[in-house]
Formats: sequence, structure tokens, C-alpha cells
Amino acid sequence: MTEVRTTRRWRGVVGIALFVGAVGVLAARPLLLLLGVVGSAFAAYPHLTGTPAVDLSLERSLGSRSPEQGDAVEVTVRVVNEGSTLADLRIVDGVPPMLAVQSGSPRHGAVLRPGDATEWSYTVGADYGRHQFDPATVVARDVAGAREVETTVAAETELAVTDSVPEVPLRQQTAGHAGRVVTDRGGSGIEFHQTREYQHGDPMSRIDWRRFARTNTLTTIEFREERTAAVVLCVDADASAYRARRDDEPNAVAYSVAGAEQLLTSLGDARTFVGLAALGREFAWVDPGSGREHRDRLRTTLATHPALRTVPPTDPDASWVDTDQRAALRRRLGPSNQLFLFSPLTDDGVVTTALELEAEGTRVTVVSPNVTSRETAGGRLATVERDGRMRRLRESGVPVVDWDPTDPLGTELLRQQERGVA
Amino acid sequence: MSAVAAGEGSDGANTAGANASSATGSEPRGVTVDRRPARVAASVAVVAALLSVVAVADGGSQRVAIGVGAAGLLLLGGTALARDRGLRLVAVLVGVAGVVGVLGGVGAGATLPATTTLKAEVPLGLLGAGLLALGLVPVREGWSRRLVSVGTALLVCNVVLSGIVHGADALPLLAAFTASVVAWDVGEHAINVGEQLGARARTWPVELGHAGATSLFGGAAVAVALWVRGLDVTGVPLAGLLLLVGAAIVLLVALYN
Repeated sequence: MTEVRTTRRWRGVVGIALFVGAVGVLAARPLLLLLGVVGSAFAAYPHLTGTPAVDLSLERSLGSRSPEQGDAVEVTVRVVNEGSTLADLRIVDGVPPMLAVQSGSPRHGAVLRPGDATEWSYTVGADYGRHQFDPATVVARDVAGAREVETTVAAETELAVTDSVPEVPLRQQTAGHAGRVVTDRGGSGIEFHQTREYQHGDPMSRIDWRRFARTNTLTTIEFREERTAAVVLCVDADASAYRARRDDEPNAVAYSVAGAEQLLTSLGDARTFVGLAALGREFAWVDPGSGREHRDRLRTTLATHPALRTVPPTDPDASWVDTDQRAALRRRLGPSNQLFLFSPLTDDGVVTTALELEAEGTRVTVVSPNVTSRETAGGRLATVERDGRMRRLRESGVPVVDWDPTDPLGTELLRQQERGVA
Repeated sequence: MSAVAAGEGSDGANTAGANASSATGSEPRGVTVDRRPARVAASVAVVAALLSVVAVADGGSQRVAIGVGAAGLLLLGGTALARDRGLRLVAVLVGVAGVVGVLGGVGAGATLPATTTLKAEVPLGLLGAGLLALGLVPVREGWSRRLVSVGTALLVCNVVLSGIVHGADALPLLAAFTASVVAWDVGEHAINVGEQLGARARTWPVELGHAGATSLFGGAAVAVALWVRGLDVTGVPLAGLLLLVGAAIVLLVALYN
């Protein structure tokens, strides 16, 4: 991720040096030639400095670990220079996309000698959900400003506002599976699957003691794993999904990721198997699972997977989600799965995917953050198109949650459930 | 509904200052970040520009002109401060007064001195310093770099003119030239830091560090130039000088490719 650029900002001084030198010669003024000496020295200046080597460590501390919705949380960032002197260091902290800075600035400039540290703080407004801080972006220039190195410094920090998310209404799971599926994966269960070499930490009851008595080697017996119906949270992060109501508001992908985060939090208490998928820059998939560690893994994936980056594409007309990605998703889902598909419904492809999956037996619920605006003609057209897509989905029996992202998702889901839609 | 609801996002919920949240902005909601040039470096740049004019000026009438122009520059600084505090009307009024001040200095410089050569040199420099200051206020976003460049060009022309027409001493001339290059470098740095870090971030160490380094290097360059002068190479014939300049051009072109 480290990028070195030449700024070329000293180019103009060559012109100045040549100009004064030329005038000095033409007007036969030796003093002006002396100015040419100074000018040439400045022209050589950027070549005398080296490219800065950036080696930093970053620490973030939050004023409040478990803030309430709307609280101002102070974020204190401390950056230590582990390498050589940095004469011109600019740091932009990776504020989570869904949080707004209320006072102070997440940006900071510092001159750091080896071992020096700099510290600053700013406050953000806490919002629903779990928010992972992105890595801070660092730009270091040499003292002349001729070369700049851009890189990132990561530190895991999470700000969570969780207590306000109500339980997620899941769709009824029918079709005779009764919520249990036999899988091809080894684990604990009843039916024998395979034996394998003992690994540290395997439960003692699953060790094949007879074989141990016979051969003195430890082996573990695996049974076919039985799993309950799994919920998969899928985020549509195609290029067209990076729409925002206004430039200064989060885009639909940021809302979708935040929505998935909120659902994950509330499903976490319900001992449901939860998996994660994303269609976008690349296909992302995390197998359904349960337990605290799995939830943490899902959260990390949500916050860090490249497919779920909330930075909009440079080319908004690009289309990343191809048939391969859709096929990959379909392969992994079946009648035993519930799919929560987060999508602003900005193109027809995602509707087709949802309908195909529903037809194959996956219970699909579409959660659609509404980022359309009625202020412009284009916005009104997008609203009409989105309404049409929602209607198509609902006609085919796919519940659609029309989510205004300024409300917490849980409230919206409950509202829908009361209406009998979801 | 959408527009109103959007305004009541997390940031609007409990901020007392009505526009505080939107004005600060973070990276993601960043379009409202004030990207004006960093203040400390901008001030240093304007002071350097003024020093460049002062160094080559002599005579009482030129001092008067510079005094008037400096007052105008100070008022332009006031404009920047007023702008930062959101006092738009005050900023505009003080800004107009500043421009009038700078132009008054230019006018005084062009009329008061006795000889034509003296009349020519200060107005050009004051105009350059004024444009540089306007670029750093900034009078209009997107114009900053252009105004700073044009201002610097005028400053350099002023120094060169001074060197040609009334043959200022070596040290003031070198100092004035170095100050104009420093003004340009520090001004550009102010714009760049402002773009990358915005108005609210604490950036003065970076600004002062850069300005200090450039000034020190400029000082060293002046010392080298004086040493070169001490060698009395100015006695060499014009053909030799041309050859020297040609070699310098080749060297510079080579350095930049």
C-alpha cells in the first residue's frame, strides 16, 4: 500500500534560475548571475534530500467504551516514530465511514524525530452499530517536499453502540429441513465421518482410544456435522451501489455494511449460524458458523475485506459483479439458508440474483438502504426505478425492507414485521 | 423527506453549534472540510514576500510606499482571520480595504520617488506580494497556486529590475531573491498542507519546519553565492560566462529529467 510520488513542486525554480541568469548575461550584470547561483542551488535542493522511510506505530483510545447513540466520543490518537526523522508528516485518521466528526480534526501534521510521539484528539458522534476504524493514511514528505510517501498505519479500534438493536425477525424456515442439515464437514455429531491425526485441543471423548492402545498414536474421530439453518448476510457492493444521497453523506455500501453489522450484533445473541458474503470488487465469503470467535471473524471481514471497502470507485459506471460471482454465491446457498441481501437496488442484476436464489429455495430478504433523493430529475428517476425493483421482488414473494438509513435498522425491521411483510 | 431526514443524521443529533458538525467534517463526509491554505505558512510566505521588497528598496519615499502596502497586506491577513471565524461580511469589507491598501502602496511607489528607476521597482514587488497574499487568503478557491506563482514572478522581476537599474548591493539583492523563492515555496506548502489536512488540524510544526528548512538552505545558498563573488570570477570575459551559463542550463535540464 506504500506509494512514493515525486511532487515536482520545485520545477518552477529552474525557470527562475535560468531567467535571472539570462538577464544577467544579457544586461551584463554580474550580480544577477550571482542570483543565478542561488537559483541553481534551489534547483538542486530537492535532489539533496532522500525519500523518507516511514515506520510508525499508531494507538487509538476512546473516551468511552460503550457510548449511547448520539454521544460524543473523544478519540485520542498517538503516533510514535519508530524509524528515522520525518520532517513533514501528515496523518489522516481512518474515521469509520458511518461516524461524523463533531469537533476537532482527525487530521494532524507533525515533525517527528526518531522515537518521538505526537498525540491529538477529536470527537465523533456515536451511531448505531459496531464501527471499525480504518487504517490511518500517512503522507510523509522529505524536507524539501520533493518526494512524498503515502502509506497506511493500522490499529484495531472498535466503537460499538449495540444496546439499541432489537432482535432480528427471521423468516419461517419450512420445507422439511426442520432447521437441520447434514453436511460434508467433519466435526461433532452422530454419524461417523472420518478419522484424522490428533490435534492439540481435540476433545478427549473423540479420541480413538482403541487405536491408541493398539498403535500408541493418537487419532481423532470426526462425525458428520449437523447444522441449523444458517443466515447469510450478503452485501451488494457493485460499483453502482456506491450511490449517496449527497456527496457529504455515506454511500449505500457504507450503510449496507453498517446494516449487516447491526444484524450481526443482534443475531449474535440468538445462537444462529451466521455467514457473510459480498458481491463487488471481488467475491467475499465466510462460511456460516456460530460462537464468539466466529462473530469476531465476521466483524473483521466486514470491516476489512477489500470487497467491502466503502471508498467509491473512480469509474461509477463500472460493473464488477459478473456471472461468476453470482454463480459462486448460488453454489454456496441452498434451501437451508436464509439470505439477508443488503442492496440499494440500483441495478437489475441484483434483483435477478435475489429472484433466482429465492426460486432455488433460499429464503431471501432484501434490505434496501434508501439513498435516492427527490431533489433532482435523475434522483426522481432513480426513485421510480428502485420502487419498480422493490415491487418486482415483493410480487415474487421476496420481502423488501425499505430502510431509511437515518433510522436504526432494527426499528425498521420490527415495523415491517408488525405490518406482516418480513 | 429525504433531505430533512438526512440532515438529522448522527452528526446533527446533539451538536449545539448549528453548523459546527457540518463544518468540521471527517474524511467520509469530507466535502465541507475547509481546505484553505495553512495559516502559519501563509503568514511566513507573505512576510518573506514583503522582506523581498524591503531588501531592495532604499530612500524615504519608497519606505512610505512599502509601509502603506504592508498595512494593506496586514488587512488581508485580517480578512483570512475573519473568514475563518465565519464573519463573511467583515471578511469582504476588510479584504476590500486590504486590496485598496496594497494598491495605494503600489500607487505611492509609482508616484512619490523622484527618479523613474526608483518609481519602477517597488510597485512591482508590492503588487507581487499583494497577489501572493490574495492567493493565500484565498480570494477564490482554485486560484491559489496561480496567484502565488504570478505574485512570485512579479517579486523576482522586481529583484531583477532592481539589480539592473540601480545596482543594489550584492547582499540585499541576494537576500531579496532568496526571500522571493522562500515566499513561493512556503506559499505553495501552505496551499498543499491546507488541501491535505484542512483548516482545523494542528499543522504548525510541519509548516514552520518546512519554512525553516527552506530559509536555512536559502541562507546557505546566499553564503555560497557571496563566496563565489569573493573569488572575483566576475572579471571573466562574457564568452566564458555564456559558456558557464550554458553548462548550468545543461546541468539543470539533466537534473530534472
